[in-house]
Amino acid sequence: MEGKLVLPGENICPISEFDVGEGTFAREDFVCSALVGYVQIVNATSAGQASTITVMRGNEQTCVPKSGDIVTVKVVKINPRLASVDILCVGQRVLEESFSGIIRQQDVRATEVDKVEILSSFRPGDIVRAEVISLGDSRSYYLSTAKNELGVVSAKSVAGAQLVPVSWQEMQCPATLAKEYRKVAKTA
Amino acid sequence: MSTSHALDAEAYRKIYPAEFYKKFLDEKVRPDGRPLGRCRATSVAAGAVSKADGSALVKIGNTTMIAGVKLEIMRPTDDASDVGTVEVTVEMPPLCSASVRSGRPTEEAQSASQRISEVLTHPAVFDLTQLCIAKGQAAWVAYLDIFCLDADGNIFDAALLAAVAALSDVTLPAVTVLEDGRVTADTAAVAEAQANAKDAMQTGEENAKGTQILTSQRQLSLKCVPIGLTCGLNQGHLIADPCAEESGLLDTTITVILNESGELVSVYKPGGNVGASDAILMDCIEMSRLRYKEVSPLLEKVLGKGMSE
Amino acid sequence: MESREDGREDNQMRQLACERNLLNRADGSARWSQGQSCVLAAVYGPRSTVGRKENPEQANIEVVFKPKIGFAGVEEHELEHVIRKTVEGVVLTSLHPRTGISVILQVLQNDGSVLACAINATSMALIDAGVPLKGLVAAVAIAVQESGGLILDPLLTEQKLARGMVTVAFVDAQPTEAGVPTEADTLTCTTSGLFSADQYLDSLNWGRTACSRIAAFCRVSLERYQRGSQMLA
Repeated sequence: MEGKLVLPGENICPISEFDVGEGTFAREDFVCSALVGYVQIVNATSAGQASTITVMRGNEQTCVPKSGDIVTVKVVKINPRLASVDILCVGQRVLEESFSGIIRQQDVRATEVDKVEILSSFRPGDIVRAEVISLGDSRSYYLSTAKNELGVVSAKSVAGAQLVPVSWQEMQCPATLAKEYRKVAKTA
Repeated sequence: MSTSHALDAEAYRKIYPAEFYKKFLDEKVRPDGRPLGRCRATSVAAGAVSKADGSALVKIGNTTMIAGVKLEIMRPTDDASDVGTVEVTVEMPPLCSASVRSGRPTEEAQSASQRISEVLTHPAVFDLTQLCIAKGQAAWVAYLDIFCLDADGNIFDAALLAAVAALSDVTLPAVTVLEDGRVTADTAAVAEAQANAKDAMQTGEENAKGTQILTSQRQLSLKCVPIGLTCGLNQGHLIADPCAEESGLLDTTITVILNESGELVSVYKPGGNVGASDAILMDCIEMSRLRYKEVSPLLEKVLGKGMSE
Repeated sequence: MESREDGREDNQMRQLACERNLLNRADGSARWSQGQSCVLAAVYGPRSTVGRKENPEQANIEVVFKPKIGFAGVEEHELEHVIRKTVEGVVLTSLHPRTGISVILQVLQNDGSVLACAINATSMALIDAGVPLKGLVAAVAIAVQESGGLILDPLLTEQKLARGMVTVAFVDAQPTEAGVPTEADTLTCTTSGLFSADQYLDSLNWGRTACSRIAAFCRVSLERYQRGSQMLA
């Protein structure tokens, strides 16, 4: 069954054996293929989960951000309540066309969420690593940077130079030595 | 969860396009491997649309343009009684690029339509009297439509090449202007009209307005062949034939159109973030000359007749 | 040397005239005449724009060009494209992100060199509106005659008889004595008709010299206006 070429709608296996994965869907107790591609079995990563069947096409398919994905975004606009961003990459996969997302004031960090100032966390043009928390409203995905490893990855200073992180909330411009406030992502 | 923060090349390309491109420019090469002055592979195929009166399909790299000519008869105006017209329209339908929506034509398409129209209707490039059937009575109007099928940058050069090839591919059908002013290609109708005219003479009726005018089938030809080259300026580097990704990073573009005698048909630099010195403009003209030598054999082969003097 | 219709020398410009601040609802306005050619420009902005046109990094420039008679067609849209790109090259757009700057041009009289006239009018209107600029834009048209000679600032009749025409615009950032050519780079250039590369280079040089004279005229006019308004204060 693994490596078999399947067409959309073709039954692969009963749902009791394997769980539904990427490129497949469940119909009447069977796992069916949704794409033209080759069947692959993905083993369970943690106890309690069943192994899943996925159907992979040869080349990358268009991917859509879903809850729990780590995405790389570029900040487009900010206002006191939220930062509006363009989602550029989902994980390591580059998106052909960007989706829009927002990082709300209460999702910027985990502690003291009501005292967050968006202006001291993000600026337009910053590259930020964030997590998708929900599909959001009709216009944008809801994103969060409330973990240590999430936040601003790269930013330009007012003078135009690349900012260097100093702490989890400060970055410094190497040219003018001025410090600027950002919610910085912790690099390993 | 992986905490690897190293971006692979594709992600870097998307997030920092200017820095990614600069790394290549510093080595005097471009992401697709071309040196700065080289254009992409070009191909021209005439007669691509069998139902059109003249057509051509042009590819420059991935940029694909298809041009078709449809002929119609019109009555010429009094102040231009011995010429026809060429109506050029460049269209970019939504299928050519993710950034094009259906609706109003894009500014780029309208600009290209106007500039190609100016070039192809100039008396030194195309003699519009070729389109005349009968002075003051009938003339051809050639609707030249150029569709973009794939927009990967530099649609103007491809559109101009397609327009030139399509127009040269047109064969005007043989038509007859009947006495009553109707124009027909149908030989049966012509014979009938001749018979009617004879009857009219025998019964003594007055002969109708004019006499019959016959035109023969003929191929349209251009007086000189314009071929263009668009270059972009990025950080002072002159880049020939930019693709779509490169076009977003350019400071300005310069388009030079030449004919076979090396005369300038057009030099077009619409504003932009930087100015161009005389040296850069001369470099563009020189690069256009080389481009002309590259492309004109393709046109000659396709249209089967020598065009360079 | 055959003289021109209006008796000018080959490299002589027509009488320049500029009136600013004539529309009281626009942020800036200017009426520019070169002889009998006259274009009125109005500038609105920086002001807020509709969401789709909003650019978070720079101001969004829009140009509307209305011919003297009739509706704006493809020809006018092409002129709008050229003028918009010229304005983008000279306005410091990054100083006013998420705003829009609209330039509306109306041709009042067309006696040749209309594009050059329009660019000059736009420049003065932008200055009148107080939009931050990199420098003064000056534009001029040069016609290449059948005989191969060049003439500056052609009339409509001269334009129709010419072999070809070149319209160029330069950004004149440094003050210069009138008549001394600057080494300015060409900001905008459009041509029509056929001519040789040498004739083209000559037109660029003529254009450069003429534009530095136009810029000098603008400077004198602006300084006089400033001094005049200070005296009233």
